Amino acid sequence: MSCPVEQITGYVDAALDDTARTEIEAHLAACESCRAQADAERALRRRLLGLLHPPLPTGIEERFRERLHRGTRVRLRRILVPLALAALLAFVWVRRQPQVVGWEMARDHRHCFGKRELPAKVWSEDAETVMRWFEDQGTRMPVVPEAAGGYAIVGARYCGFMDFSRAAHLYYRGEEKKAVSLFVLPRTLSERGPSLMVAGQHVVRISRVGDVTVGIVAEDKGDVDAFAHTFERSVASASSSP
Amino acid sequence: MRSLYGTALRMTGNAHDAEDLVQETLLRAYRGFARFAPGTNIRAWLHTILQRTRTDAFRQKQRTVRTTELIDDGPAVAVPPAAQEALASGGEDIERALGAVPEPFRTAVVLRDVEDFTYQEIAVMLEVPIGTVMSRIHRGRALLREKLGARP
Repeated sequence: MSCPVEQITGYVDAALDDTARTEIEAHLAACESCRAQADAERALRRRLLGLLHPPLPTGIEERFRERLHRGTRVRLRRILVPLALAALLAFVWVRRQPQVVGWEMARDHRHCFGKRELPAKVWSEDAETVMRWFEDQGTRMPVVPEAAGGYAIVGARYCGFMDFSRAAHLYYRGEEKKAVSLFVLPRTLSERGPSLMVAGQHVVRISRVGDVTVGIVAEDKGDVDAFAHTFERSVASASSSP
Repeated sequence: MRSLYGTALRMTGNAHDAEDLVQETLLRAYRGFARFAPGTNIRAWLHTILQRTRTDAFRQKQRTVRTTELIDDGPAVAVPPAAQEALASGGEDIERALGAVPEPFRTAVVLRDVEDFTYQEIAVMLEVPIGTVMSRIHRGRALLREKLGARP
């Protein structure tokens, strides 16, 4: 009969179920060579259990910490770089959307006219003076109407937009403290033709004049249309007579 | 960490590979710490990762070996003398004999008899059935006894 040698190993390690253990115990009682194997394995096991762990190489912990940080940095970069690119693309796309720009113009209009005193940097009822002021600041203005649709210019300044660009903001006053804003943005938007939108309590008209974008903000559509009508006529006549 | 390093050294047979293996194991453990079930044996968990890391590294090596058509010098190779010196402090010939036992029997014996894990734990680590664990330990011990007996 052949000896269950592997089972003897399992028996030494107390890894057998009850049935197998009983069988092996019976076999051991009768088999000299298997008893010797079990004893030898127990002795071997005692020696191996007594082995010490070898000393760690010096600097292994420092090297691990270094690697951990490097790994974290790389993984962080793997997440942050695409995220930043996506944000940049979204940003570039958003700043060309007339809806977004229109909303910002309306917000600036509300902000400036909502103050007790208009935060103008140049005060003048003369369009020439305002244009010259902007030119001094480095902004070439298209035609600046002195008055349009019953509104007259009172002053101007630069307003900062959320995308860190700035727009020329010209203030016009009408009867009963009614107000119109004319914005000149030194860039073009995704839409070419004029667009009209409502942003809160204001109406915004955005159109393109040459390579700049012009926005007109007023409280109602009638005012915007009247202002735009005069403004666009004066632009047309200015471009036809150089 | 000493237990991990000791096992890695006995498995790979050289300090450089052993450290690489431990570093990679700890890195994986660190990232996968959320998957560690509290209340279970953290030492067994770390050793499981060590074995998986070893398998992955070996597979990777096999791939490169196949493309370069080199002879596989994987874990079947015995522990070289330099690493045996590090292990066998005080002239312990049992370390030398253990180093001469080929894989996969050496790792099975190291996990059972040096690290004192149960068959169940070793089966999980090596991803083999318990019967295979038992047969590997049996064969490993037999080989080890042979090596010890053969030495003067």
